[in-house]
Amino acid sequence: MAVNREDERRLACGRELLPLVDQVAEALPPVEPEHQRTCPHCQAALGELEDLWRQVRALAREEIVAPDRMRYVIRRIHEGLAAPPREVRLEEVLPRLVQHAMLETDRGTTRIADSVVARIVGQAVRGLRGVHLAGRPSAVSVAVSGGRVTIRLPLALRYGLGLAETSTAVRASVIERVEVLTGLVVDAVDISVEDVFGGDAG
Amino acid sequence: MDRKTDDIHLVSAAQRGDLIAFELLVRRYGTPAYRIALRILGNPTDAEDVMQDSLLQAWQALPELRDRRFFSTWLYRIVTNRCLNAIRSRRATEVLPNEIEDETRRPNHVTEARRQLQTLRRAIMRLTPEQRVPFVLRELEGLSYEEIAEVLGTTVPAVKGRLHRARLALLEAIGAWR
Repeated sequence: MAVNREDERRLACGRELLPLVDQVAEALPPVEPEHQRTCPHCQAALGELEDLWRQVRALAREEIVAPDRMRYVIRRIHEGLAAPPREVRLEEVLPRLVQHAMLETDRGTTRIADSVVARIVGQAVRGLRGVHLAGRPSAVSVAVSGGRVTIRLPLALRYGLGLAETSTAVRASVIERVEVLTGLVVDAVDISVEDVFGGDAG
Repeated sequence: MDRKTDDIHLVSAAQRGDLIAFELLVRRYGTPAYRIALRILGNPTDAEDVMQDSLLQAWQALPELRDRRFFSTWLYRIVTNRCLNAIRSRRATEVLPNEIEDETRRPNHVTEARRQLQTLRRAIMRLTPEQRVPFVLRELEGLSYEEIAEVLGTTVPAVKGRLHRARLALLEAIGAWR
C-alpha cells in the first residue's frame, strides 16, 4: 500500500489514514465519498482495512468458554473465604459429627450441639470489621466437654491490622458471645491467622 | 426488565449479602471478564487467575460500589487493572506472551482463515498494554466509548485518542502499512 514516507499516516493522495481507519472500524459513512469513489489510493487502503477488520470481527465472534474456575470462585464465596458481607451459613459451619455440650441443672439437662457454638462463633466474627473466617468455615472447630468448650478459629485479617491486637479483640468477642448466649464456659479460643486480604486491592 | 435494571436489582441484593444474586452476576459477567483478561494477557492461565481474583475482589468490594448501574464496567475496571499489574510484574522476565497456541507452527492442519486469525492475535499482543486494553474493550467486546471511559477512569476523547493510536499500531504490527 502506497504511503507517503514523511508522514506515515497520510496516503499518496494526501488524505489522512486515520479517518479511513475510523470509517472502517466504526462503520461510519465516508467523509469524502466523491474522492473515495475515484481515488485508487483510498480504495486500496479501504480494501485492506476492510479485510483486516473482517478478521477483527471474526476474532470478536470467536467463542471463549469461561473456565471451571468460575464455579470455584462461587464455591469459595459460599465458603466464606472472601470476606462476605453476610453471616456464615449454618450448613457451612456444621461439623460432620455433632457433639453436644451439656448444661446440667437441677431440673434437667440442656444439650447444645457444637455446630450451634460454631455458628455463634461465625456470627461473632462476622460482627467484627477487618476480619473473616479463613479456609473452609467448617475449619472452625469446636471441642465440647460437659459445660466447657475449646474453639479453634482460622482467620483472615485485613492487611494493615495489628495481628496481636486483632486476635485479642476477636478472642474477647467470641468468648463473650458464646458464654452469654449458651451459658457454656469457654476454656480457650485458639486463633490461627491464615490469610490477609485487601493489601493489593486496586 | 432490561439488563441494566436487572443488574441494579441483583447488585443491591448482593450488597445486602444475597449470594444467589451475586452468583447470577458472576454467571452473567464472569465470561466477559475472562474473555477480556485472556485477550489482554494472551494466555489462559494468567487470565484465569485474573478472573478469579477480580471476582473475589468484586465480592469483597461490592459494598463500595455506589452507582449500581455500573457493575459491569466496575468489574471490568478491576479486571483490566489486574491485567496491567500482571503484565508489569512479568515484564522483567518475558518480552512477549507467547503461550497462545501457536497454530502457525502446524501449517498442515490449519486453514488460511485460522492462520490469519492467529497472525491478528499476535499483532494484538504486540500493541502496548495501554493500546491493547481499549482495543480489546472496543473492537472485541463491543463496549461503547462511554463504557470504556468508565472502565479506564478517563474521558471519552481520551479513549478515542488511545483507540486511534491502537488501530494505527495494529496496522503496523500486522505489516499492512510499510
